[in-house]
Amino acid sequence: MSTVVAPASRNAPCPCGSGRRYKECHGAISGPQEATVVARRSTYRAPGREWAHLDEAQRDEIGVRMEQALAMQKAGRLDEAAREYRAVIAVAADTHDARHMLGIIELGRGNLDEAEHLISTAMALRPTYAAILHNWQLVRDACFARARAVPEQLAEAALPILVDLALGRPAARRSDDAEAVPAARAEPTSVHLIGRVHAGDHDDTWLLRRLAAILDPECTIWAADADGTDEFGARHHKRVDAETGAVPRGGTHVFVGVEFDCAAWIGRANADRVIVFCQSGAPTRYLDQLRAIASDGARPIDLVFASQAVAERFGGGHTVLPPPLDFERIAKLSSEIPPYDERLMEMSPVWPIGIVGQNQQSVSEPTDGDFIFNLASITGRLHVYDPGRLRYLLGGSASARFFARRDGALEPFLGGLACFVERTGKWWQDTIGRELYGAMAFGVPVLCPRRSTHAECIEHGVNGLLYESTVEARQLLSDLRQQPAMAVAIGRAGHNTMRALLDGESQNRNYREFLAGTPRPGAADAQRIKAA
Amino acid sequence: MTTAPVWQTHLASDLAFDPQYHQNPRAEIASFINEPPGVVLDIGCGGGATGKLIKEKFPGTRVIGVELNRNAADYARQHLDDVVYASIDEVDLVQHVGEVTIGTVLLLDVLEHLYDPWRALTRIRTWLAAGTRVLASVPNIRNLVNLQELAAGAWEYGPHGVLDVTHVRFFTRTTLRRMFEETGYAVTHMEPLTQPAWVDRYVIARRPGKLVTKSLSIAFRNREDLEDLYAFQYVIDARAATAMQDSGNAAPPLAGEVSPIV
Repeated sequence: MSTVVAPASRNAPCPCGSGRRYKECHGAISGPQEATVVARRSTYRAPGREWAHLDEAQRDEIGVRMEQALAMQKAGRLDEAAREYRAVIAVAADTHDARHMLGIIELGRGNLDEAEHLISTAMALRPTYAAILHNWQLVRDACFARARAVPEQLAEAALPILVDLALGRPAARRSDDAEAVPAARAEPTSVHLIGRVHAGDHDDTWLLRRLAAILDPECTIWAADADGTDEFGARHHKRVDAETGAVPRGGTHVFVGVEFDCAAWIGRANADRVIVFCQSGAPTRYLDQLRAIASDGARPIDLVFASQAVAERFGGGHTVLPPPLDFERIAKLSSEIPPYDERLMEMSPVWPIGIVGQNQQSVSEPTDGDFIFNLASITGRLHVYDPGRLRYLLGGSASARFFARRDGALEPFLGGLACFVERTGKWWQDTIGRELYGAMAFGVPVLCPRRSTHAECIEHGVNGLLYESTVEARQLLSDLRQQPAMAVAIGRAGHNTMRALLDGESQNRNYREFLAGTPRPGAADAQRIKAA
Repeated sequence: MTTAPVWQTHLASDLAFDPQYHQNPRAEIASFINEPPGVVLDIGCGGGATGKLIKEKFPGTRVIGVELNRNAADYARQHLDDVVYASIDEVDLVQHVGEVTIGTVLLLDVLEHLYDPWRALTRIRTWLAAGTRVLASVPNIRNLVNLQELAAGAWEYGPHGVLDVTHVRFFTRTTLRRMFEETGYAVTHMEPLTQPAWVDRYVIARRPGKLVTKSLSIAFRNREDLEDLYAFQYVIDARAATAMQDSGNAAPPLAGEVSPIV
């Protein structure tokens, strides 16, 4: 007799396919077709009384499902595993492992409410299990982070309006205002760069340095930090004391990352013109400052963004300037190492995929852990720049290598990659794009999310690859790996894009012209980026 | 139900082996090891979980553990190549494992437990060739949570964490670096390990360059300074210096026998 496993209810159809109810067929009591005791197919059994209501055949059946589900989860087949866990819970709601493991999958997917419900019920079933407590803590941390993120989500919709309010006029009219440039703009005045000089390799400081290099010797740098400022040389450098110290009078005041009470500064300085570089991500941080700066309405304010995508979200007419990546330096460095196709041969059979771990603008938990695990499994080698919390996630993995963020560490990281994958979260958390643009400049093919604010300088399949979903990214990566010629071609085109976009002379000219007062409507620049 | 105070439960002379305390694999530490590390000397190896992780990451790596807790040391023998049951002040490595060139020394959550970590570091230095890598992790006492608690009048020892009841020395980023530099090491990198979500619970307001907690308003200068407030621990990546730096207060001669390992 074939083995027939009893269904959950004796009133359910018999699994033998006869069409009769189980209790009238194989489940008939004392009938000749009584279900035989099945050979045990699984070793998994739930502890305690979790499966007390099931008979041995049912336990065996669920045991098989649990073992399959655990194997699927281990293999990264999360959808299938989740389906199995749900099936188990439908039959045996108290299976703590099913709740716990399904909760972990939901946590990975960002379904926090679901995860919280599942893991908390698992914890109620097994209050002493340390692993459940640990994961419960993770869920609580994630819920807490989400609670904090809500105001940011509200801010997204409100941003353009807030900026308009801050600037005291409809932003859309900005580009038509070119005629009405105040007199102070017409003649070049002294330029003051104001920002923080962070230790190490930081986007704001990096931008400040680049602007200083472009403008030197036409500008003075005012740094709001006690340390790390000597590198600029004493001639041009002054220490900011925003509350009591001396401020320069008149001229153009350029803020790179606004982190102190600059409204008071501008008022005392009686600045002719104010420029705020909102390039280095998280421009929402500046809103309070912008509102304060604009409150007297006495002087024009320019907001500068690194991409058209961000500028548009802040309303129309803002200035877009590509980040002043030092292309010449990178071109020089990349000419000192073998070209990409030769590097690829040298790396072989290793094919390292590069990512940036930590977004500098928000010290946030990685929410795309599954994606990153998958990346590591595609080629068996993942290089992580500025790993942050990914050290915990991937530290023990034989396939991961880590590069701490510090001066001079980016270039060796980029030079050792077969491919670079940009990750993105909220658009206002997008960084200045230095690593992405750097990878392109190094001739390394890049993958960029379509919704990233940097996607506008990439044409899919030509100078880079764009992806929508992580599944798509996986597919693109394996295609790229199997077609080195395509990888080389895309890398070369990306390099040329960066050469055109970041050409040193025209870049310096653009920045000088802008700072000297020539209006640069954002739209034209976007065209230029596309054309490049 | 009342819980026994931590000094009664966690300061006993014969500590039981606690899996959560002694058997905690430190993936984030393994992340600092990107090349085969050579022979690893894991001082304070506990149950050997981190050594095991490194052996899995770089198969063939020899890991020698030193551990003061006998139960933990016995457990570590399952995972590591050699385990010496001894304190850092007494251990005679050559006697136990023969002459061996150490590639990497791990001092994970160890120095803060020692009355004289300076002497221990000086002693370890004598076992190492110049350039040998030392990876250490040490709690950061300037953690914002700790500052807030202290400002509120609390300095509460617990079973683990920054104020683990078995900790006897406390360091900040600066004093930690100085300790290594004064005992014969060149610090190449210090990385803060942060738990943002945990610290964020104590932050009730953020202003440019300023964090506000219930009892404190703290100014920070830059990103590095901010991370320092969020760091509960530092990973120190150091190399045995070529010559002892002339700090003017060189460590006194060590008592007992020192066995250089070549």
